[in-house]
Amino acid sequence: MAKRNDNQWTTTRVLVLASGPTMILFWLLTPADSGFKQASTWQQMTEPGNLSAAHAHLEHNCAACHTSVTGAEPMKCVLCHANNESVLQRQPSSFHASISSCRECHPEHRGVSEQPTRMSHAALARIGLRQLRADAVPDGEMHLTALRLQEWMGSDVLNDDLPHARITPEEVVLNCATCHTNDDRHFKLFGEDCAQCHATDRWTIPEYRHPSSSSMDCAQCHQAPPSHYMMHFKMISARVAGKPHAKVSQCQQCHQTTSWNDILGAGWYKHH
Amino acid sequence: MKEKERLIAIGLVVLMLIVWLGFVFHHSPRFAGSLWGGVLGVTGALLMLVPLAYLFVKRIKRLKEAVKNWVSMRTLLAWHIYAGILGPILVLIHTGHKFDSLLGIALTTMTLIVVLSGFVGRYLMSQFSQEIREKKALLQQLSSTYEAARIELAANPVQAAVVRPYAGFFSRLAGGLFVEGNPTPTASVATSPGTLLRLAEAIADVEYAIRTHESFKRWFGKWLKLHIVISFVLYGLMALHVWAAIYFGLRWFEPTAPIARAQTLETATGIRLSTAGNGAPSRVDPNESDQLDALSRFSDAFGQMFRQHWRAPVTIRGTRTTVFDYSGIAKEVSDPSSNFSAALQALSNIQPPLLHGDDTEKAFWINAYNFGAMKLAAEHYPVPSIIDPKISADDPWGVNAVQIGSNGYTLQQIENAILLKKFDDPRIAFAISCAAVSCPDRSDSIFSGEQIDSQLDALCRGLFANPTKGLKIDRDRKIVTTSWILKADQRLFGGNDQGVLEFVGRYTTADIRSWINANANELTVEYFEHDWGLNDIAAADSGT
Repeated sequence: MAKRNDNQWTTTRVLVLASGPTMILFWLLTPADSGFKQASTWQQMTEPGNLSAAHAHLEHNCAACHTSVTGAEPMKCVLCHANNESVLQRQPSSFHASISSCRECHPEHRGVSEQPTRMSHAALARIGLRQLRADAVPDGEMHLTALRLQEWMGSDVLNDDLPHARITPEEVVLNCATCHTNDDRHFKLFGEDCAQCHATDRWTIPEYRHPSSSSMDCAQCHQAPPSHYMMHFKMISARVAGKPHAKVSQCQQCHQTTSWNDILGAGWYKHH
Repeated sequence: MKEKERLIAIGLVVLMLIVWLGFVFHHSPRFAGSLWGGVLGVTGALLMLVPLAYLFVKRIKRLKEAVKNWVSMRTLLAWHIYAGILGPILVLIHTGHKFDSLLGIALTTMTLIVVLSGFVGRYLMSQFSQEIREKKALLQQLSSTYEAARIELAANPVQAAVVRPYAGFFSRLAGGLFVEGNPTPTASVATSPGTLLRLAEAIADVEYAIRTHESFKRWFGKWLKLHIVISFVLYGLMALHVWAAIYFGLRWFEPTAPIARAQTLETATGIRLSTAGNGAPSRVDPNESDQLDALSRFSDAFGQMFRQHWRAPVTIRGTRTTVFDYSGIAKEVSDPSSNFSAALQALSNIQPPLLHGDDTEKAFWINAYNFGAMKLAAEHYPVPSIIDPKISADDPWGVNAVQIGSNGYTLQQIENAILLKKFDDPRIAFAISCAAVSCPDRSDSIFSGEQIDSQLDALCRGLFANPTKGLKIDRDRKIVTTSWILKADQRLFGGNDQGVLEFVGRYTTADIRSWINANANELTVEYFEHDWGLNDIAAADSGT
């Protein structure tokens, strides 16, 4: 038995001992310009997928984006993308100036034809919370805000009270107006709780229910267009609808809840 | 106990194969790098190291003696088996079925092979031994029966005579067909000569089976060595994988201290992050004066270096070109008080994000590119061209050429990510020079923000006035030969011959322009062969 073990050990020992010198010899014998000795060859081996077309020129320059240990840091992105004024000076996209992470919404190595953008409201919320949590002052105001938000997000109060299943507690934390003030077609008349009627992946949601079609208090939410306060209303609008005596405040005389231009009696009114 | 262990091992190996086959249905590229993916990966990798314990304890006598009191070899082997299958299951889950990179695929394949080789060795091998033992017992039994029958037959000459004709080698093969076997099952074994033949055949069959099994066993006997060798290959790949993960960075730690980061971003972008008001953030330039100072120090130092080593046109391999004294620049590289070193120093004080996208920035990047190309050549001088293995095995445009601010830039980056992206100006293609003979001739000064427009015009006019690399007109055959740069960067010139001719016409003499316009539809556009050789005075043809 002992002899057999010795034999086994010899084989292993030879293998282990020989592998070192073999590798050194291999290293010495290969010419300096062979692919084997280029860092790029080894780097390419680990590449999970091609860069997008816009970044294709960085294909052989890993260090342009990657930092050891910490990975693709935002500072590396900023080097080229810093003074993109069209992005930074527009209200909907100016958040790019203060966001602390790029890779969450701009993943790379997904192939040449893939655009490196994956918009994710949840990621924005995560980044924002992280930013608050990392407040330089421990137990500082921002830190506490983060903790309070965290607690609120996990609470039953919020989770039972979500307007619909298309919005997550994480997303509720976001302030839509930060980016979407220009988009508010309701001119702030409906307040700031956009999630009541909208989702992050779509504008209209099937969960939305218009108040009863026989309700008459339309002015609570709707405003008549400027043309309704001019001669246009009497001369055109009221006549087209077949209600020559309607008043501007009596919306329900002509309009229906399906759409403002679904005119009672006149059908779908093709407006210019 | 052994049976139970075997069943568990079979179950785990099947589970492993099922987990691996999951890639057919599922692919989650971001899981492996996430925190939980990392936890699985590290745990799996540590488990995969456990089998090494058995390997070494078994072979190092002193270690074995020491360990024996604590844990038996049997237990160690059990750990070897369980950890050796559980580890791979965890790392396969860790992959998220992202088998995209070469290393990832190799690593997964090797993991599967190592586990399967261990499994085959441990269980199929013992199956073989078991089989051989049983077959040998059967052979024993058959032999004694045969012996008994033979003695009995020898005592019965009539029956013996029936068998005798089949004693030869070939006739023996046919014996079974002609000699009747046992007429009735109740008849005595020994009285039937056919039985004897059948017994002989059975013995031969069993012997053959044993031999086959033994040769299989011998063949599989190499498995242990194989198992050890491939597992060491696997450990090597694993080390590479860990290296790559650390080298390229982990996603476990999300950027922290964002408040500080926001401030640096603010400084970097030159945009004040207004927390109170909304609307467009206003521009601030906190380090404007430092920046201007660094920019002018760079232009001064590079400008002086450029002028000092610039030489009037010579001919190199038939191409007329302005040249530089690279041996002189190479001397500056190692001199800390030289213009070269001063330019380098100034570059490291420039913050690219603070540039304004104006002519100053345009001139700066063009100069930085040219400085980078000259630096590559000078640092590795003597080189025949910047396309040289001394500089890069395959791509001199992809190596770090200059450090600007705190980051290295490649020529490729400056050209594509900055110059051509920010400034819509095809003349840039001529202004950035790869220090090659066929690149446009230069005046003895570098580009400056105030004069860049006229400088670029002059550069293009100079190129098309040079019949050895810029523009050659064959009026008879209606051939226009122009710089290869127009072909290489054709997309900047309308992407077709028409655009190329239009551009050439803009920067050539009125005479040629009108000739080109008059013959536009019949012209053939050809391109000079691009001479990548270094535009070095030392390379000049003799007598020029």
